[in-house]
Amino acid sequence: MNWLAMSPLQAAALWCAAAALAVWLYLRTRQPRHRRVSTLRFWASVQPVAQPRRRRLREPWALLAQLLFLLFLIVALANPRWGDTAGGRNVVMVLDTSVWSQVRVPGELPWMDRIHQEALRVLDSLPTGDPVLLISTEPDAPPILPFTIDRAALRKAVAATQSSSAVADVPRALDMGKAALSGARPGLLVYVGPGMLDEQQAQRLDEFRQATETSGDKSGQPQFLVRLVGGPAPVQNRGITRLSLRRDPAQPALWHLLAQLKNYSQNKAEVTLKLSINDQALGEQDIALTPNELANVEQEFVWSQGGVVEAEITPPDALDADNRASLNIPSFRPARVALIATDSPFSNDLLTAVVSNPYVQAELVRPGDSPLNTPDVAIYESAKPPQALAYDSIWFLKGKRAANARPMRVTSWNPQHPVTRWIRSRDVSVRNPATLDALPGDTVLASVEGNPQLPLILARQQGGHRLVLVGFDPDDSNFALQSAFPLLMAGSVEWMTHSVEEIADSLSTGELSLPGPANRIIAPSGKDVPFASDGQDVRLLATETGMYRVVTANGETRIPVNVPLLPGQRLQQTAPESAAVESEPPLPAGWNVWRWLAALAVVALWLEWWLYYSGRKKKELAERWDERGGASDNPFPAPGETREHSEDRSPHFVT
Amino acid sequence: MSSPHLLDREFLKTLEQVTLLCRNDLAGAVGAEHRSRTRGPGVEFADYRHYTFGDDPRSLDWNAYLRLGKLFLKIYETEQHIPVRILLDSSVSMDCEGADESKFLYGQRLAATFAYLALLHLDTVAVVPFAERLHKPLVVSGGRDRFWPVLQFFNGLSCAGGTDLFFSAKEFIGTFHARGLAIVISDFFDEHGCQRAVEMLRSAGHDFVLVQVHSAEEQRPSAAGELILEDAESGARRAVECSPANTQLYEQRFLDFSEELQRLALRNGGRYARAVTNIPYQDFVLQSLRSGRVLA
Repeated sequence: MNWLAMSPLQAAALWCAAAALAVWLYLRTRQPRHRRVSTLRFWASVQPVAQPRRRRLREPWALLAQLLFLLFLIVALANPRWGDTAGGRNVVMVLDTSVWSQVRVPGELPWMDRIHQEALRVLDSLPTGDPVLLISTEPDAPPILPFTIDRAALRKAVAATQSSSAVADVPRALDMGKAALSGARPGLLVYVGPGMLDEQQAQRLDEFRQATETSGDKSGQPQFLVRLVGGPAPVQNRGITRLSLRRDPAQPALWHLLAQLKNYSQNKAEVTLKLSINDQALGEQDIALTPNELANVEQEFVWSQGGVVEAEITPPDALDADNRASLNIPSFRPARVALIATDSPFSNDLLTAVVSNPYVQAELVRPGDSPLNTPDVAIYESAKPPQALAYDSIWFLKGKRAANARPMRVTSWNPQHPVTRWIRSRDVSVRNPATLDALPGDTVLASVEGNPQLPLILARQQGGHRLVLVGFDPDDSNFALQSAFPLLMAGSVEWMTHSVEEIADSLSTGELSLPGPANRIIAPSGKDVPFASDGQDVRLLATETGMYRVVTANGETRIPVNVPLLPGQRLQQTAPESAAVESEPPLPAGWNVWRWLAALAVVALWLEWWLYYSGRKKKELAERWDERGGASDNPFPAPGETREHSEDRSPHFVT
Repeated sequence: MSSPHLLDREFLKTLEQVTLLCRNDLAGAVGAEHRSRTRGPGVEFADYRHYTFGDDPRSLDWNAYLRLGKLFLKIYETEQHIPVRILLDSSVSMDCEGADESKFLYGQRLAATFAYLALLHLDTVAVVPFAERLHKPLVVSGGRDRFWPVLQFFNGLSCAGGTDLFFSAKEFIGTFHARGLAIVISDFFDEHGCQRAVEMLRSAGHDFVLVQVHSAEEQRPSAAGELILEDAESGARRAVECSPANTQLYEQRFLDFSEELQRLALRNGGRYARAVTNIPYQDFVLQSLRSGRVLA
């Protein structure tokens, strides 16, 4: 019987509470009682009670019996066992619910169903007293069910397991199971699944086998069993393992696509790769795959907007999850830059430097004129900056010109700021720099020599716009001739607009890091995915393929997640691993003492009743005997003994 | 005929063999069954004397005249009616507590027994309840057939008020002038004592019996621990520790009181009996009162 199976601490706490209640009840009878009597004259000689006295137990032996009764009862409820109480053998069952469990071979049961069958078969072969732990092979996944002997719960948990789209890490799961079995008695470790490993996992599994010595003998190692599903025949599967995009450096709208295909079977395969963007077909390509080949397919296409690239291979095969993949195309819009300047050599150099960036459309605007299009960035060179900022701007400010001014070298660049993070030059020198007053919140990007150093370039955020102040005359400097000049312009424009994403790579199941912050992440199945914030990024464990929805404060982003490159080696089962479950040696079960404790509790209860009630009855009888004037000291005469009414017993008479 | 609450039929049949004893120097009406020192018409021969003129010739002993030639007159003891007065304490203390039954009910049973015995022997019975003063009495005579009104009278009694034995005895003496047998059934818990009341009964020439009724609890309290006691009559309170030592001291005081009451009765020519309510009243009547020569 299981009873309440309390821990010693719980049983002690419960007994203390019950004992306190019993003592209180015994003391409670000591409360002064009110009694109406015929006269108080005979109490006159008794000292009255002036103050409440310390309470005393009326029937201490009865109380002791009751405490013993409670002790026996509670200990019986705790269901202790006498002697060695070793339980059943610990069993860890590793269920491989990775992406390979989704395989459906025509004419056969899905592999996931076969995993369920094998797991239940192993479960049925175990003694009912063996506690079983269910874990999965997915990395970082919590146990499916902790150690329990509840077979119904185990069967329910096994039946409820579903295939994921993650890649299994079988040796790691086996190590976890072995660690859970570490104890005095050898346990049982069972792997149930398709047994697909990559090369590294196969090597680690060999190490695991060597350490385990699957015999399960005196060394205390657990018995390791493998139950493979799917048979030894290779799986006929081809899949897309990766999609990546790279923007052309010269033409921002031109994309180079790389698709990686894997033939997991031992046969040649002919597949057709179909590409589409936002459900708009881009084209098809027939590809011949040799056995176990990992092939790269490249294509180019022009697409200036954002969207989702989808790739699909046909014909369908045993594993459908890796027959398609998708990838987000970053959207792109050229930044518009207005150069407000007079016609000067530096203006021409500046315009050349700006337009050399293919992601920028530059326009030269004379001072006083308006740009044709609303610019993203305005560069004021040899023109008076406006009082109020209308755009993100770059100002060139000139200092007072002195005839004998000596050139001053720029000694420091701010490597932390996006504008100057790529600039390291120490060959830039200026003459007659402007005096820049750094406001609170300004960032000094560059300084010239001096004591203290004088700020030469400042970054400022003002009125919702960004501003870069350049404090020297370009014509009075060698800066325009330095390579740092186009870098400064490009960094400034990028800081004021946005960085252009030049590559995009497909995401695979497993641990992902996405740009954040995010309020909520929803899996393709509609479930909320737990995630952790890591600075500006969020980290999550993706076990499903499809489109994840990342909900942020500004809206929602859709992130496609695909199947990664899958392990292709099949686990080779050894003879001991395919053996039956070893029978357990007979274990000392421990003597179940709850019945004896219950019997002792009954005895203690009867003893309390006898001490409390029968004792009082006996006392009353003795008092009656005395009141009747019993001559004998014994108030309870033996059967047959006649009670004589003595003179003492009869009332007094005087005649 | 009898009330099932007081006396049972079997006990009444037993009482047919019992006589209520009293002093033989009491004068009463002729015709009852109590022997007396008074000579007169009767059935019990007492003595001879010489005939004088005017004597009743029906009392002459003609056999003696034939043998001796002289007239002798036979003298008989006269059997008299003795008035029996039963004073029953109906104060609150009589109905306060008791282990088996209340003292008042026990006293009623004893009073009914005495009344039945008196009626059985053609005596006149007066049942006189009292507490702080004498209550309205019931006077009955005429044999056992008049026992039913006595029971009805008992059924109508209840306990109220305190105990004043002296005032009650004073009223009793003023109400009942003729000497007789006075049976006082009470717990005698009078704060002023019983001495003056008993002496008053003696001085009035009554033959009296003091029947002290109490419960076993009153002799030896069974309670333990702290008690707050309240006097049923005065309402006074006292907190006491009912320890074994205190209980022993209490019992000693109670026995001293009973012994003093016994000595008081003896000193004044009366009789005394102590009834404990946990003893069946039949046993008390047939054994204790018989052996104590209250009954014969």
